[in-house]
Amino acid sequence: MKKTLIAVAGMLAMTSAVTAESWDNIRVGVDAPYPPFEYRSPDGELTGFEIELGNEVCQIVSGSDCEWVVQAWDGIIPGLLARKYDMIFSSMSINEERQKRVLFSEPYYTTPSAFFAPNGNGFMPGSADGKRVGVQRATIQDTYVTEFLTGAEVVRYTTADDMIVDLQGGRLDAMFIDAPVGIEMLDGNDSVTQVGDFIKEPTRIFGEGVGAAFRKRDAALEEQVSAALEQLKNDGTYDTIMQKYFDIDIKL
Amino acid sequence: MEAIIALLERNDIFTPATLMQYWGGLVTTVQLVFLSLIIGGLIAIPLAIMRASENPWLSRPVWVYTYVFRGTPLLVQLYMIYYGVTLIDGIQDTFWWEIFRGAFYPALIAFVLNTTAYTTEIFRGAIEATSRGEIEAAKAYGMSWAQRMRRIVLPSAFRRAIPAYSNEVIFMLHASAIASVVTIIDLLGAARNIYAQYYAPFPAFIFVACIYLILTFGILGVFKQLEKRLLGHLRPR
Repeated sequence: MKKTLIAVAGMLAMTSAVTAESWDNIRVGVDAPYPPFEYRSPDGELTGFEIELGNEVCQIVSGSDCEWVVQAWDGIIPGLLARKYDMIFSSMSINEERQKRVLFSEPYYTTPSAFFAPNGNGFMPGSADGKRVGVQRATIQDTYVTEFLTGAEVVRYTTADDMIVDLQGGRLDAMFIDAPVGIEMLDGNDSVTQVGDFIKEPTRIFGEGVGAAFRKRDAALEEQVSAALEQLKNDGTYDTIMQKYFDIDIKL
Repeated sequence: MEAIIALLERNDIFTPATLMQYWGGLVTTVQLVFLSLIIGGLIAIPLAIMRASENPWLSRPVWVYTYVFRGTPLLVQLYMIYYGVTLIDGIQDTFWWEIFRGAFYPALIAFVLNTTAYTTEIFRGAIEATSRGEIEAAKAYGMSWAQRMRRIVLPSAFRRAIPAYSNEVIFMLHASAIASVVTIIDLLGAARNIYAQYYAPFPAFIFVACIYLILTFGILGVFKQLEKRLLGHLRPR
């Protein structure tokens, strides 16, 4: 009887230790380069808006910086589900289709998308019939172009840098990309400019903003991360990091 | 049977829309492979004759070509051609750009150059394996070089080349999957789109693997029939 009690007590102690979910090291999946959110500085270190913000979040939740795992975008959700990392912090817009597979934190930023085209080729988003428009595969920009630019030929890329090479080489009439990323990647390039306005409607496609993503069973971690983000937004840390990378306000 | 129907009804990946994507990919793959094999095969015939020639001015240049294209990865050749053409000054303003703008023709050119190199070597081996006796007999009949080639050497060389050439055809089918890295929506490109859309790598890729498998078995069947008809005299009795 006594032995059974001890065994039961031991098992209870183990389960409580598991449910407490103390994370001393959070592995975070990120698709780099995606400047200015995540990219490598000249010395090879990962840096950028999300890297800095993510490290602040990890500091609050686990007491140490995140362990960053670089993963190409089209495999980033399967990688999370396969436990290669515990969280995605990589400009992932919250939308219904993704919510079927993952759990999102509270949104932490939102950015508009924009068309970019070589100077003087006369591309207009309103009359894109027969034009070749590049997007990154399976992004919300892909969904938007597929639905609204039905007359255009949509060319899908695995990475944004392949797309920019093709845009500059003249293979694309335009590309549709997250506006800050486009501005940053084309910084110092005079041959390509933004065409038309910033686009963030409809919210059905562009979502309610960008959130960190988790496996559905890790609800406790999600709560801790959302709380940490709230704290950073209120104590001014968020603004300091944002102003370092952006001229526009992306806070949400 | 009911289990299969139930499975199909429950899945949200293999809808008519995605099946159409796979179909479009299949058409592109078959076009790419078929065209590059036809064009490559036609170019390979004169090149193989040159390569088998005893005149070094004829055989050396072909040797260099086949060594370069068999000695470098097809993916590298594809990148060189796809990205290389955009660097030619002013090509964007010529009518050539209509051809090179999309990804299909650069990929086709890379595939043709690659398969031609392999096919040339296969044909060359078969030509050189012609037995001396047949050539001497042809000479004794007073046939010219062209007549010997047309009547004696090439017909038997093509027959001998069939088994090795069937490998090249299947290799080409599998190699065509790399077309998807330069934005072509071939079979693998369709699978990548569907995988990225539904975050479901396993169903998307296993389905496309089955299609490749079926195509491969189809090609094998055709070549088996060909060998039966054309190489019947070599079968062990």
